[in-house]
Amino acid sequence: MTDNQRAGVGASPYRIDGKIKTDGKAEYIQDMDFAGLLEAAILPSPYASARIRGIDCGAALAVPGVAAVITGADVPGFYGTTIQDRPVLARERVRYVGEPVAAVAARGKEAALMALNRILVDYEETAAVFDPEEAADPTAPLLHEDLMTYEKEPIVNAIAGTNICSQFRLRKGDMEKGLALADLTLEESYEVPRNHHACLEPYGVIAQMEREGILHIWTGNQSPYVMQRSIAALFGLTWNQVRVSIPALGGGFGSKIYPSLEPLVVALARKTNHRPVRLLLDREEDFCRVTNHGCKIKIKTGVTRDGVITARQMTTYWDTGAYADCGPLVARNSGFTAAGPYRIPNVSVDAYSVYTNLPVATAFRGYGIPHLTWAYECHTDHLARKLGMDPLEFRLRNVVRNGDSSHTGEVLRSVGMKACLEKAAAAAGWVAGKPPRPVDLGDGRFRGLGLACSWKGSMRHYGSAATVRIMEEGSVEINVSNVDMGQGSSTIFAQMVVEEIGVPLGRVRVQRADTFMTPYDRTTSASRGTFHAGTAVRAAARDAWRQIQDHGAKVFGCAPEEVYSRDGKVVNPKTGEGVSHGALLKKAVIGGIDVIGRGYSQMPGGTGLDLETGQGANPTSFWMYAAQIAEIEADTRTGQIKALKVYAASDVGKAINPVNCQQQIEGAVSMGLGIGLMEELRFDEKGRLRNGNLHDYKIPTAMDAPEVEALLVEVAHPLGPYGAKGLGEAPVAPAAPAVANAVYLATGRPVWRAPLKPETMKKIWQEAGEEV
Amino acid sequence: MPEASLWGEKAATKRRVTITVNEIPYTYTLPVDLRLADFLRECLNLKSVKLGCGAGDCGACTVLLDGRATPSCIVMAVEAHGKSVLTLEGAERDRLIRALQVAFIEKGAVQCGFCTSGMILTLAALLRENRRPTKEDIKRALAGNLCRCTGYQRIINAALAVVSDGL
Amino acid sequence: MSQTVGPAACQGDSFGYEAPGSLEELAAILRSEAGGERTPLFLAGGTDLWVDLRSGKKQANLVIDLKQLPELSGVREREDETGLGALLPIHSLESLPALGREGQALREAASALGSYQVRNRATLGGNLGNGAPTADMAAALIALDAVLELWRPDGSGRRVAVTDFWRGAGKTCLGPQEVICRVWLPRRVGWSSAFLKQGPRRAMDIAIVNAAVSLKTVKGVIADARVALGGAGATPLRPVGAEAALVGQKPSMAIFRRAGELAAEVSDPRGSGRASREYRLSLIPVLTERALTLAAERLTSQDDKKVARVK
Repeated sequence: MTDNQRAGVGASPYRIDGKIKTDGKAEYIQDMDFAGLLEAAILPSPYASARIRGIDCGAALAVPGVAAVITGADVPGFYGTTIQDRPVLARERVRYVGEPVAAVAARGKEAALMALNRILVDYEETAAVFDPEEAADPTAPLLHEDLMTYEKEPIVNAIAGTNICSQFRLRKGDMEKGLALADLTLEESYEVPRNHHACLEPYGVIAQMEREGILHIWTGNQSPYVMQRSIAALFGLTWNQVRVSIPALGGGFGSKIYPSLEPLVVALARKTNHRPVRLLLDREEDFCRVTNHGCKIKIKTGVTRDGVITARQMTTYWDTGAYADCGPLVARNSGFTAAGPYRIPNVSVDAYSVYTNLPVATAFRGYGIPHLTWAYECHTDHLARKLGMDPLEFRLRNVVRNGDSSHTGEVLRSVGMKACLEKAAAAAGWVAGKPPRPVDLGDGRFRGLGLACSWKGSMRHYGSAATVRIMEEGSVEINVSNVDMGQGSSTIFAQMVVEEIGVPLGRVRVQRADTFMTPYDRTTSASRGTFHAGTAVRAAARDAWRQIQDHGAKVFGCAPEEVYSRDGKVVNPKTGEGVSHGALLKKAVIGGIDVIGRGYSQMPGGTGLDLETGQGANPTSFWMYAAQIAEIEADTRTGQIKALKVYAASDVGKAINPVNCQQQIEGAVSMGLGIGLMEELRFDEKGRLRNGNLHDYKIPTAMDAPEVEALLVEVAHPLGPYGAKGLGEAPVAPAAPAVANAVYLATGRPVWRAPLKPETMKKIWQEAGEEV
Repeated sequence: MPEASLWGEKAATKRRVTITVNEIPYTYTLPVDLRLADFLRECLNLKSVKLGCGAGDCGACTVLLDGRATPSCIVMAVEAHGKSVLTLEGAERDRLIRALQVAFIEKGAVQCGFCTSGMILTLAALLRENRRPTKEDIKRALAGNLCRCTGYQRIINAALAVVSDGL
Repeated sequence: MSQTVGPAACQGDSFGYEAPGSLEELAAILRSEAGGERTPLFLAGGTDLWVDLRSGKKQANLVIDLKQLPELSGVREREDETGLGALLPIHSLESLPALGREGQALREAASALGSYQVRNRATLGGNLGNGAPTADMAAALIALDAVLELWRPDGSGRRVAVTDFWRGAGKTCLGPQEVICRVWLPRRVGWSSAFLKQGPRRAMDIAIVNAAVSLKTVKGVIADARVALGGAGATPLRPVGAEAALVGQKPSMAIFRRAGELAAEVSDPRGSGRASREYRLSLIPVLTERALTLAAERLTSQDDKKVARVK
């Protein structure tokens, strides 16, 4: 059997959703049909900071076809992922350009836009602040005077009288002592500007107050149960009155984890006599809905002459925008990994999540790790050069190993960091101690290699549940609320069921998440799907298989544990004959019954982190490790950098589906290269986004795509299903600094700010007088 | 409902057009500012045509207009009068497109799927024009079809597989 | 302060579309609209126009689609020149045999424009008519000594050298009712040409700077040269000083570098969100020099074989 005909764990069968997608039949929000559907439109704030003196909606309501017009006055309450700081529509003041000030539901988008044109808003512009470091200063204009009285999650550590909505502190060892031990210290500042998820599918949501009292929301969201509970709390409903159904997602990457505009659409839907309301954002609106964080990073490291890191101090300013969303969590969860995958006895991290008058920054694949990796990995190469040491050798000397203590005091197990470095280096032909020499191609062009590595924690343990239903005719349904947004999790779950139950893959269907049908799962984020939802699915499959064995025992007249499966059939151990699952069930249960297996992922031992020291023995379910080597060509006369090839190694624990793992790595590398080479949201001096479209905001095209050699390292995790760890996020981070380090090795020019656009690089090379 | 265009509340005039879509001729009287993509999606329910940007920047709405890969979001339906359109829904008997669909699955070129229809139709147009495109030709043809999931490598490999199968 | 979103309201107006089937019909439409309320805009490929209308960047109440005009279509060959219909899709130029060896710059410019889909839709005339200083067709046509044939509703056509077409930022010499019919390229036996473009990415982008050049050598000496630049000023630019410096010289890195410097001296690019003035200025000598090198390498006439490889 070839690999793709096998379908169990470790094989690479074709994706179970491949056919509907290549037929163009997968149904995304924009494809759904509803009778009586109303279209919503949002009036955005034109100011980054202003008081609202008055709103007049009279003329808007008079537009034919308008069903509802709402403003902040119509929707009380606040929402927010970590801090309840956000009104559904602006009340009294606006805090960023694009903030919803009013919204309309009407028959047809034309009528909705016409109504928006007739809403008069009286603004008084006030002072704004856009830079997170400036915003953190106590003299900066305050975005939220009520910061200290908002409801908050326990991890939030706000600083009164400032725009710092949360501070994360980590203290390990003795910084002064550590620096004193160093022969050499290097202090640098780095920056990664705001960039954007740019899912190919623009965001959309549909909401309906159904006649029987159910609030039904269809949204391309990664966390249906978080959505259900947030919406229920905001609108005073019980959880079982809120149904969240998830259609196909055209990418997520963190942009769809938390409630964003869903509350607004629900607020409209409550005023439309049970008619469904749909909000489909234009691409330009989508750019302002949520973005990635921008970040400024200060890093100081002490090393001995032999290349041993003695101390590292980091201060980071996260631009979280006008509302906190998950900003405090990004600062915290990236904060405890900020010093990088290195053994460092003395570590200090201060991470600030800071309000600015820019759109809301949210989760982005990697949750801050790509920003930090950019800083500490460029920094690592700068240190290596000062030491006169090969960057690979320097890393191999310092990276974390099994049994090491993490920066929070966790004893690390199943660590694949060194293995990833070695695998990437072997593939690229980079021998430790002998850094590859750049090649001078003439006319100002150079070719060279660069290296970077990274680690990422997932998140603490949160529960996931699943059921596996075997129908009497032999088909199987997996019910799980993990959202397959393109990462391929539904195929992974189906493979687990094949592995455990022995049914053919073609008989397995994975339900789309729906809070009325599929059981609880916290969220599809933090690369946790395979690990947690997978654990639940495997447990449910095993539970279902035990029931099949029980039925088999009755029918075959044997002990349950003697019943086994072979080639998609349940085998009678006495005769060796196989029957289909369906045929067995028919015989076993007259009148028919579905077998339902239940499974949970509830793991022991998660801890929080101490608010003062950031110490904690088990802050994350698992760690991910990645190392990449990029081969680039740099044209110093035009500033153009071309990524030619990336050798990308990731520790996946166990590859349930190796091809799927490679797909994740390849896509992650492309995203990382975008961050490193071209992606940057440009805001003007008034906080207006100047490149909010897919022409002016550059993401890599097929022409920019390098060849990626995805390399799998398998250091099994004791709690992961079949040993698997998560994967999706970690390989985003090393790509950009690997390119930067290749540029550094090839041309000798250090860089500190991403992205390395041709214009930026040309300037750097010109100033260095290196233009040929 | 108000008679309004999406462009500045100007009521668009209407024109009678006949467009052959997936080999069936349709005659409609349409506002002149109705995009071909909206005509296909809303009037004919052909939802394989995805709307990603509305500005010809992403390629998700690519259809074949008289055989040419065309962004249907920046073409008005009236401009397609007298022409023929092919979407994936009409490709069941098209051997080349079928081969591309199979290759996309087999080479792992599909992730979220939102760009997939446009990718397949773009490649079909390319391969009809040039039976033996190089890898560079394929990359150039795909440059207008953005994908955020795959990094493109497997999409390019799927196209190369169809080329080497000589279909 | 109050606020309106989207394009300004102008109720009562209608939005019309006409698709004349001949220049006669077009003339009739324009005559009937003359002095009327409606401001017509001409539509060719529509890759920019429809987007600009939808975003409110442009306003119109009548769009006249030129795509049905046979007079603007196809390729016409004459003994001493080739006429490219203004409606030719950019994509068709990428492999057009009629361009000959000397027309390589236009093929390359066509390949560098937008995406495959956009090239299928966008037209030669539309790319020029936009008036953008970075239009990829513009530099290539200047380097190839193109002449534009324009049409007016009263039948008084005229021919304009492509260098006279642009009249300042976003402005062209086209009258409000004037249409580009055809682009004429003179036969230039023994010439070679090349086009290079620098954008933020390797595809899909408007040029930051582009450069097109053409060269003719006689007995190993440059007998004539054209240099054209996009993104180097408010209009596409022809730095004649750079051309003059080339004539009478043997092709060499040194002379090409000198030409690049001279080209930069007369350039006056503007800074924008896409690129700063300084960056554009710094690219001009590099792209000019490299395009000249490429063109020189392409000189294949018997006479010039010995200098075909530039040292």
